[in-house]
Amino acid sequence: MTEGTGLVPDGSEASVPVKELVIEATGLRCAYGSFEAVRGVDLHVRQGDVYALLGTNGAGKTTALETLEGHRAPSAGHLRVLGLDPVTERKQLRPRVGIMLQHSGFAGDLTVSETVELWRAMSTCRQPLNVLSLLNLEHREKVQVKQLSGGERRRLDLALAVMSKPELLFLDEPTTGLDPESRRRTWQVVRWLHEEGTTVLLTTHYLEEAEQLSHRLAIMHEGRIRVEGTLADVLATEPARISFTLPPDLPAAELPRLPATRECRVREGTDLVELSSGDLQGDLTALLSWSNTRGTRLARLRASHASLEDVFHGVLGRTPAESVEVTA
Amino acid sequence: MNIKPVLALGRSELRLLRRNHVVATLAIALPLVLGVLIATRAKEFGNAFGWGTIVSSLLVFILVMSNYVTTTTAVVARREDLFLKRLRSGESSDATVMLGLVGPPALLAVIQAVLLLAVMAVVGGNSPENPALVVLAIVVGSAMFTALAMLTTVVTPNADSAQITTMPFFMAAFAAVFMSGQGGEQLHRWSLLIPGGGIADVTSVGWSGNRWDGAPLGFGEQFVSALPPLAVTLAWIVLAGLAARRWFRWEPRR
Repeated sequence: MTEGTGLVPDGSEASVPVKELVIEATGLRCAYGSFEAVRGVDLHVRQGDVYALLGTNGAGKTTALETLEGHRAPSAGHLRVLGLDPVTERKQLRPRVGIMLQHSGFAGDLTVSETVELWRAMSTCRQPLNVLSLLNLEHREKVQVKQLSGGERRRLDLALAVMSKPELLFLDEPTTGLDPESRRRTWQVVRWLHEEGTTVLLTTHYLEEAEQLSHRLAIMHEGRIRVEGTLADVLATEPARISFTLPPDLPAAELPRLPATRECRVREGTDLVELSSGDLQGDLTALLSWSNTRGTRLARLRASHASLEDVFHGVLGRTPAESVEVTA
Repeated sequence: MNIKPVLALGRSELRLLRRNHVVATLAIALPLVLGVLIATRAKEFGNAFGWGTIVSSLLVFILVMSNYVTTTTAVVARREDLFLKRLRSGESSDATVMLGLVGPPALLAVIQAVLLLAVMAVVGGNSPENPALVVLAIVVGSAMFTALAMLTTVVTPNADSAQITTMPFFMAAFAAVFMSGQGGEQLHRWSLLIPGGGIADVTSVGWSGNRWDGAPLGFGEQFVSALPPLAVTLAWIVLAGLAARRWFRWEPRR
């Protein structure tokens, strides 16, 4: 795959409105003993962004996030969150951030309202949000946490993280395992907080979640960020696809050469032709005018831009040397 | 440090201790049984083994059960539940979280100890010669068993196994109490080095006004005699505290 299609904007910081960087990480590395979970990550999250960090299990998302949160010190790299060092300046930083860990627990014998009360008493926030109504947990107030369903626990998790209406919110897989209704509620809260000015950094392996919520996203794989940018930037890193059935009277060799086609193959054992294209409209126009001129009908014709899923699978199948850098 | 979150967490820990039936039953039944035992047999025991020995055994027993074992079990249970990790993702400092967690069992133990010793004094008709030393022993002892509990959590994978991992210090403390009062001079000296031995000695001297071998001590001498065992106990607090701080885990091992 070649780099930089015409759709990718020139990568200079000056071309975007200058906003304060809320998270600034350069060359971030985190190791557990001899295993390096995060292997040189650069991450810049601007104020007011909802930023999604995508990746498979074990890609290093949680380690990266927990390092940004100050749960552990990086083994190398430069790191500033709201202008502060998350480990040494934790005391100043924590009142300004909300954290929803991927795996975190409650004291099961406390009730929902006792848990919220405890968290409130442990926060310095002057006007905490009414999080139980925000997350539709009011009717479960008197129930012991150990009796909550998985979705309710996760919502209580989010409730505690957003209680003080933080400037910066970390969400580690906020909707994994949630039913559609709980997921929708979580998205609503994230969108509302964003409107209220909260910057959000979330990890997820639901591509739809990243598409729905985020302004910028990065795909992590094996401890590195492989693709980064706005959704449009990221989609542009992967070619568009055209496919059709090879007409019976036509040998594959006689297919036309299209201007921006990078790869053209007939799927093994079938007569399905698959093209990857750097310019969908141009290639499609050329293909259709060729078939019109020739009087050939292309059966099962499909043309589509790359989806986030394509990019994602592209990244997983790629070796690190081929990784794509997109900046916008 | 801000005191409000410590108190909030302490209150919630007390609530959790109350709702854990095993811990709650133990916390109420143990002093009750001991209380009845003292009320009915104190004089007999006191005259047979010496008041100092009886009182110091009682105190070490309370501190070990209500403070040491309870703290170890509670902290490990919170860690297992990933509740410690949550508390650490909030605003509170590590010290705040720690104090809130270990405060309630320590407080519980101190209250139990004071109540039982009061019953002892009233029923047994034998009041402490040097109450200040006895109070000092209770407070320092509680601090030491709290520090040892934090250290014990390092080698305790889950709440159930706390029954086993607390055994070494549990046994050592009782061996020390026995060695302190019932053995010869050599054994007594050794007992002071063992965690619990120093506390037993200070309590015994504070209560009876006598040295371990029964030789009477003046008021000033009682304080002087308490210095070495207190120094050793403080050393244990520092040692266990530092080691716990070095190796303490906020999350279960994965």
